[in-house]
Amino acid sequence: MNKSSPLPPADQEARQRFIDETDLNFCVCAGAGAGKTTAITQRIASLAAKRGSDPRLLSKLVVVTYTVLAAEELRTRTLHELLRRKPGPGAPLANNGVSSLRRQELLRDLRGAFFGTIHGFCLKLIRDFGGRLGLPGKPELVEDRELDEEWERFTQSGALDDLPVPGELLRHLAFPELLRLARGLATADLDAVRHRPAAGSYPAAPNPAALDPAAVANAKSRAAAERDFEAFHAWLEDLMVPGAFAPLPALTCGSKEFAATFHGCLAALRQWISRSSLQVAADMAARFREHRFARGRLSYADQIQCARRLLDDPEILREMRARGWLVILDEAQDTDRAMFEILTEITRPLDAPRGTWPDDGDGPEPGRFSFVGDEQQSIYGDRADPADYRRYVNAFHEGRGGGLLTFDVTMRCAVTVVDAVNQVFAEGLKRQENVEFRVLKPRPEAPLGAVWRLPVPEPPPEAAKVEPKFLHEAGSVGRWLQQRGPAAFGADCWSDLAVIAPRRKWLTAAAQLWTRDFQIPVRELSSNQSQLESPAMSWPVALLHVLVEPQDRFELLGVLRELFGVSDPELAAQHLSGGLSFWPEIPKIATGNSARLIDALQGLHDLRHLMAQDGFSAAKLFDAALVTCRLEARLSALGYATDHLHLLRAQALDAECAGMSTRAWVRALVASLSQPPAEVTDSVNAVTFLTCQKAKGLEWPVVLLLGFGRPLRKGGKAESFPRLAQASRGQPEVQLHAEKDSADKGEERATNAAEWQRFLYVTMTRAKNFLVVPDSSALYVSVGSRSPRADFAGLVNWDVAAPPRGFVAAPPPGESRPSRVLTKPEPESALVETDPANFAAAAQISQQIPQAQTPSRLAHTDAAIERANEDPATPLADPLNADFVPLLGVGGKEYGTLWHDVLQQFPWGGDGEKRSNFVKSISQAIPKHELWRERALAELKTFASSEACGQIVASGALFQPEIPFAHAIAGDPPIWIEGILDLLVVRADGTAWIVDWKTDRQRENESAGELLARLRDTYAPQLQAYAYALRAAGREVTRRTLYSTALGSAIDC
Amino acid sequence: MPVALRSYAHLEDAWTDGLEAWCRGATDAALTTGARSWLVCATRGQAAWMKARLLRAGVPLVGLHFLPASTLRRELCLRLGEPLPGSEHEALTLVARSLAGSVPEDRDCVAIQQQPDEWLRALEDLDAAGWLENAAEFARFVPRPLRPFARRLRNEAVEWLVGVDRRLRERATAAAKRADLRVAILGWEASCFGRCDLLAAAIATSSSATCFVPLPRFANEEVQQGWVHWFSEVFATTDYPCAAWSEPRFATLAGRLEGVDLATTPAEVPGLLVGRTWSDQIELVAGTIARWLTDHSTDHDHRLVVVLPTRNATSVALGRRLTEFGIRHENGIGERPEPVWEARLLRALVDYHREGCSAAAFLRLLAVRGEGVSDSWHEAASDLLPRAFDRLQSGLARHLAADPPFAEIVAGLADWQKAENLSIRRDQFVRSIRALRLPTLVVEKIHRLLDPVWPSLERWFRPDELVAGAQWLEFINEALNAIPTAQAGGAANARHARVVLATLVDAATQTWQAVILADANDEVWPFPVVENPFLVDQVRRALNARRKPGQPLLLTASDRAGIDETCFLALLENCDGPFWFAASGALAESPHRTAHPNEWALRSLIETSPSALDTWNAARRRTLRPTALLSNDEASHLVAVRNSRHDPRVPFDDYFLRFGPLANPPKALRSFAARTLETLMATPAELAYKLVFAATSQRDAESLFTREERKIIGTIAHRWMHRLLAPDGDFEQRLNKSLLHAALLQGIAAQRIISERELSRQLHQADNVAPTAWWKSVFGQAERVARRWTTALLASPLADRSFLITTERALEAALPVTKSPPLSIHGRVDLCLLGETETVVLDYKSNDKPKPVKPESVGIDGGHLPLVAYLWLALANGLPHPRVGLVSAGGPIQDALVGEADRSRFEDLLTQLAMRQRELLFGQLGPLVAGVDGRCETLPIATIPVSVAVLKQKALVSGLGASTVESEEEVDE
Ligand code: SF4
Repeated sequence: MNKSSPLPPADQEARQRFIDETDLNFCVCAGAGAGKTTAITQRIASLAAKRGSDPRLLSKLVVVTYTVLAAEELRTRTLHELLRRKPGPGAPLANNGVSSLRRQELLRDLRGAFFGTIHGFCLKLIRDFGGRLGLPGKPELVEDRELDEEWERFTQSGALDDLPVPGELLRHLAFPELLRLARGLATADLDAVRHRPAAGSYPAAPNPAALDPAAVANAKSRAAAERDFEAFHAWLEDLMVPGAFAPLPALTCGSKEFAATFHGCLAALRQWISRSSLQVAADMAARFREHRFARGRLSYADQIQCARRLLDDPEILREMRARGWLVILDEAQDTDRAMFEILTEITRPLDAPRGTWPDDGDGPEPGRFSFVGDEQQSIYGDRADPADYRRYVNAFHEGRGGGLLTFDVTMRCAVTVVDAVNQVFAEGLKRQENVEFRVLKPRPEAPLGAVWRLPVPEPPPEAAKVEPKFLHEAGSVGRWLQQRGPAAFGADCWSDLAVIAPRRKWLTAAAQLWTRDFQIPVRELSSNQSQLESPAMSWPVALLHVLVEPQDRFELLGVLRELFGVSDPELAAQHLSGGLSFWPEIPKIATGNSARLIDALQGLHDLRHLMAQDGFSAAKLFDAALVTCRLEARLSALGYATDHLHLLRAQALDAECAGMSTRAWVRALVASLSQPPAEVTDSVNAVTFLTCQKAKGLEWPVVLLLGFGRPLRKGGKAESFPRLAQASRGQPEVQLHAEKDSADKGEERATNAAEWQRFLYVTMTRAKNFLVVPDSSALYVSVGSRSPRADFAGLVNWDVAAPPRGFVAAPPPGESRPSRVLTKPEPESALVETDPANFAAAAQISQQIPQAQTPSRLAHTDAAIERANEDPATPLADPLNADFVPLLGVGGKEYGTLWHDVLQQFPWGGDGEKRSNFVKSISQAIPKHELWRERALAELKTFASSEACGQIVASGALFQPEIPFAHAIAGDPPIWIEGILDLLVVRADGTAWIVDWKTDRQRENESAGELLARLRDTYAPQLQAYAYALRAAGREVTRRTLYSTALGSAIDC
Repeated sequence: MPVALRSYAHLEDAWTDGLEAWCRGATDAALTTGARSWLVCATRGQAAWMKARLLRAGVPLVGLHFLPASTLRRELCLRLGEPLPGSEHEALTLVARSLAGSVPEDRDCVAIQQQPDEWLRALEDLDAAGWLENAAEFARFVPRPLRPFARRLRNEAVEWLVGVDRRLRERATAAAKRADLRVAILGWEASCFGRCDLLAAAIATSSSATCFVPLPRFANEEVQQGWVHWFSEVFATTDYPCAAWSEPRFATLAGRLEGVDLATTPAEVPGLLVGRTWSDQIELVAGTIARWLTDHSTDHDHRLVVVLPTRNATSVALGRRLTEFGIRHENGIGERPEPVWEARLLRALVDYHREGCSAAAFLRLLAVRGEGVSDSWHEAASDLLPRAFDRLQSGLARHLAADPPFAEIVAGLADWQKAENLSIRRDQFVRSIRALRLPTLVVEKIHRLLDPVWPSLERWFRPDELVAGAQWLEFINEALNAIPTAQAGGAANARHARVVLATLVDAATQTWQAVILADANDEVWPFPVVENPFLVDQVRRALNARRKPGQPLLLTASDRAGIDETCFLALLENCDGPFWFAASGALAESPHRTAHPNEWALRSLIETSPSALDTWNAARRRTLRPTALLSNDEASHLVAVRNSRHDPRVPFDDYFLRFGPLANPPKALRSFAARTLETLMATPAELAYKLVFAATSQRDAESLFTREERKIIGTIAHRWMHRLLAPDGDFEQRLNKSLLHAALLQGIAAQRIISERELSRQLHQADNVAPTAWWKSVFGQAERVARRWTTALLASPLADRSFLITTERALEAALPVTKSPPLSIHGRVDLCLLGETETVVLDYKSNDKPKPVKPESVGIDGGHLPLVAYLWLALANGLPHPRVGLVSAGGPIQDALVGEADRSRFEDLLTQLAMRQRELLFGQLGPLVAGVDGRCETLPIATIPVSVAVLKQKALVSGLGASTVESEEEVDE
């Protein structure tokens, strides 16, 4: 997409202005597929080219879009645009013209630029500026669904138990109701709540004197009023009993007058409850916020609120503005008021008073804030209100803050598709508030494409309800497609097709039907399915869980039943006789049980055994589990995808690298099972099924819309009270009973309808070449329905008899031979075969490397191990080897190291006094907490007065303590000896004497002589190696001595 | 003594022109004059490579040290008599946080408290660049409350490496010259601005020094020039460049990337190894390595490096893959082994305190303990605590673990959340470990893990100084993270191997015959630059502009990006053979999304191929991995089981929760409880697991301590009614209005007081809180429910008939069924009223707003089954003319929902239930995950979902009747 066409599109002028006029702000209204990404990257390229006056311009760039993926795409394409080799104004970094130094600077700066979501940007602001306000220093994001879990844990932890709650309030609202209110406030702006009026004192009991059911005229209503009256009195009685729970009586009577009196009686109390509960809920929510912030866990809403707190601080706001950020906001239609506020405030002049623009005051500084959006595609109604977006567009429209541009050429859709969209939306529709439809234009060389209307036959009589009717629709479309295949669209693979419907459930049903009845390969891109529903995920997780928690029989049963297909009576028999477990032992297997069960238990046992072994890790366990249980083969046998296994493996490795324990990792996996799985594609050649929401930003050669006539009604959840409602100025309020009248409902319906229309727009504009609409507009309409139709067809006033002229009936099979217009650049993957023989040869060759030897390894190994066992403080490996990292390194310096460090500084060349002074001074130098201090001091004293010491001092001309050496012995492969010699004494005649310190302890029942002999036997080869190396360097070694620190005596070898 | 500064264009040139000769001179110097030689290297890898290079050339090396920075510092400390540097950086963080936390009104302090590490890092940068010497700057960056700390830090802390370096430099400069050390410095450049003092110390203590520095390059020219300037300013240098001998293979490409226009010269083209997925990348790299080795089988000294951003999934997976193939390699990045049990135990202990001493965290702690200590503490506690929770509804360990030994453990673990001084902290720690009663050896090991923490803390905190709980826990947590772990490299890991895995910095300072730059995806690296909020780039630049001669530069975030860039270019130039970019073609988290090449790969592509992105996309390749196979029998068995489970025509069978008949069924299967019958209809699968295997889901351990308010309200109200209506036992009391009036007037209120006191007493054991708001709310609601029941009884005609009362009466029976063994059931009836000629069995419902039950709906589709069971039980136990009904909290009594006359209506039901009991046929009715109607069964994780429609059909063909719940999501208009 977005390949620039040879002919300029009709809106070229607007595009060029956006790209070139970088010192102006723009609002770009860009229709679907208008190529805004390209425009944005080109604008950045122009910025880079013109940055002369500000050398760090690019590092100030803040590019905000709706998803992380989109942001990454934008960044890559920007870089690509900047580096394009083609010279010209759009390629400022191309080699000609720009100095090399410049080019490098630009690249470096670009790395400092921000490309991401608004939330990512808020996190950055909080990290950089929030410290001073006490905002978390290392903020991390909690997803909304995680927030629910966190709230659950928090409330269950008893953290709210000591929160003061007025006793009277607990008489009217149950604790969970308060919790529910508090949860609703959890992400609200609590400071606003705090400013609500205080509850005041608890009012006197209501007086029902004015309540008169007899006054109600209508008989039916009167009966209800009488019941209400009675309930009211019963409630008053309850109220008399101290401490008992007495929730407010409910009103059932429909009479307006009666209701007014009823509400009037309760008004004072209601107000008190409402205010008091809001206060309590706010306190609860505040505690929860503290709890979250202390852990640096911020929800989406928290991030925005924290960022707004930064704006509220004049000092910080000034600093932020001084940073000189250049903001480009993409997908602006999905940006809510607070987000807009953040992004515009930071780009306004230094001293502009906060919050004045867009209504008034100075807007963003020229060139520092541009946004691109399309209200037609605003489909995240829960987050962003088109009205907010409109405010900013209007400001630009009036020339306050910047200028308005429109891109109405779509680079994506074929001519007929554009035409159909225009007909449906520009002609068929009643105007939406805040959303203006712009007529789309095709790009100059757009293909003709086609828009087909597919009649859906009458359903069979038994399909009377919605669900069966839909299956009927899906079935007839499936059959139609099966007969024609992708060739009907000139495509040769199914992956050129996308089926889009507004609801995931519909898609799932249709997808199942298509795979089962028509053998059409299908992949579902849906966001709400839980991992539990996908064996590719649930199986490995269950298996790991069982390995980590072998006592969890419940999950073990699942694994045995599903992965291994063991029968239920068999499992029961085993459980009731020997017991059903695999760890620590496999119990006696009940007679008659199959090899299947025994093998399974044995396999699990072996795997669990692995966990007790050295070097075991999360990923190793996972790999072993995969092989032992043949998980991949089992999944494929049942036709399930296995790509998730690779994903899990990567996760295991990540967990390992993060220092997570296997158990913690598996626990986290299990806990996240209710979340949707990652999207994994296995079969490339499959029709993609996805919801309108998911489809945003994507495109397909062929798009098929399912459920065109099916009612869209949202599941009408009964409202439960008390509940939070938005009162005036957006502040929350507690509502204790339904107050809405039908006018509100109508308005809500209208809002919904508008949103659905946008969904339809998004869906239709996903099609590059073909749009297929199965006309089910009449299918779901039952006789006598009165209310306005809430389905796609109804929303666009679709008339079955006279559909818009752009929609032509689909041609019968064989008749249509569309030219091959479809291209799918999915690279058909070249398989890389790796020849095992090649690997074997490589392994062989890789062995041909020098054998590194440290002389201490020449010592007899068994002795080395013994030494380690005997004295746990002595590590097995050589602590002097530079690569050595002690396993329990924090556990203090090892004695050997300490000794060597001390001796390194021994004054060999000095006189006797100097040496005894040294011994004294060292007692100060060794820290008091050093484990081995006493031993070191004693042994050092002994050494200073030992015979060996005397001899060394007397005979040496040159002393080289702790001298490193390395030496190669030729061979195939060569041997490289490297090590550190404890002491090299060069005598006056040039010969060498080498001495090695040994800190080994005397064993029980071992005499001094025996220890020395043991040392000699153990270490002689090591000293020999030293001598050999020195000879190679031209020195003859005439004496080799081992000194035992424990004994204070030496032995030559 | 002048220092020789030798600049080189390529590493190879330095080697040829001086470096090798310098190294060769070491042995002679050591053995004749006693002088040591230090070759100070840029990285550890470079040091090892230099050594190997000399050995390969057959040079014997005596007295030549190869020192990377950290080892250099240690050697200098030993040589100059400075205390050895420490590594317990977390202690400093705690001190900074704690000091800053004491001044909540100072905004700077508040900020430091939030980001102590960042602040310390900024301080370190400033100190290294010499700005803290200046009193004004010191005051500007260090808020008053932290000044004494900062001074001490700089002057004496061994953990403050910048300070250690400075003292080393001072000492070396002041000390008398010794003629016993030759120093050569290789590859230290702009990135070493933070270690200037260390370098100066090494040079000052040496008798001769030579410094090999790379020539500044465009990628980071300003800073690299700065380095050379600084060097010349500080040391009197004799400055000359190394002769250029080599013409690197990728010089043209590197030049182009740097922006030198060499468009006419053909550039060497780097290769692409792009896997379709992440796993494919690993296979491609491994395969390429194998091929390279076989192609260069005789070039023994040729080396290939795989360059990775950091230790990550790719580095570990690749290392393991090579090990699997038996390819020896050196893993310079290493793996992080599983934390040892002792460390995990400590972590669980810290988590227990971080989670406010909750019962759930306590159980987790015991679970970890149980992995190493074999007693039954954990099992006992997992049984005890939930039961205690049922009574007390508190999630705190100290409330629930009120009996030995758990009470003592909880007491021993204490509460770390309070502010305490250090000696109490230490004491708490020791006691906590003691409370867990671990083997001595383990205790020792655990203490050793945190041993070095205490002395370093004692240096910083006064004995009476309080440390806040949250800060303390944060500190311990970080200290645990910092426990160094061995780098295990796998079996085939080898030094001097021809295949090396290394980081960019390490690899860029050596030369190679082949390079694979792995993970070359935009999402992975190069890493984005992040500024330090306490010392932003703008401020750094301003300071740099005013620096005095000899003062080092402060590097900005973008300078650091430039350093990465130079590393990459050096890597390219140091490669004398093929250079590949390896990457994934798809994002790991959402594989249908294309992953982008990273900046380096993309730019290299742009410079060498006409359509970079297309080249990238076309390079995506998939590899085939063999998988463990399944026997045909096994595969077809699995398929058969799966198919029958999903086939609506197949009844529930041996693979679908039909167990019977069993040889020796447990009691729960031989007689069903009345309330079980309802579950049997609604969630049969869940029940099957529970009854047959005594297994329930433990997936969500937290749910053990989740309050079920409705249930507890019901339980309490039941208990009160029992005490009020039948205080003296069964059939002793008669039902009359005065009894009920008394209950309403004071009885219920009195019961509430008793219960409240009881609860207070139980919670009192641990602490002195009155019943919490939650409990107040529960008692209030229970009181309302009990009052409603009583009022309903009072209002009904039953109140006048002098029935004998019995409550909570247990009944059992075996109900005969034609042509089948009988159905055994049992149950406990809430309230049974016995008259001369009639019996009324009543069930309490605490629901506040119930719809009245339609008598004809009882027993249909599993509705109100317990009532039917009570009728059967009453009949079988010979109670005269029984009828069964409900007392609800929200309406009048329905005392005759079913009676004797309905008996025949339930014949079929009886037969069906008896069949289920005999066959132990459960089946499944709820789906795995709640649909729109919110209905589901909690089944094992591995369960493959079966659609609700299929389950309904299966239930029908199994003779179980239709399901109880109809779900129709949307209403047709
Ligand atoms: S939806 Fe696609 S074509 Fe439209 S602007 Fe975004 S990336 Fe470009």
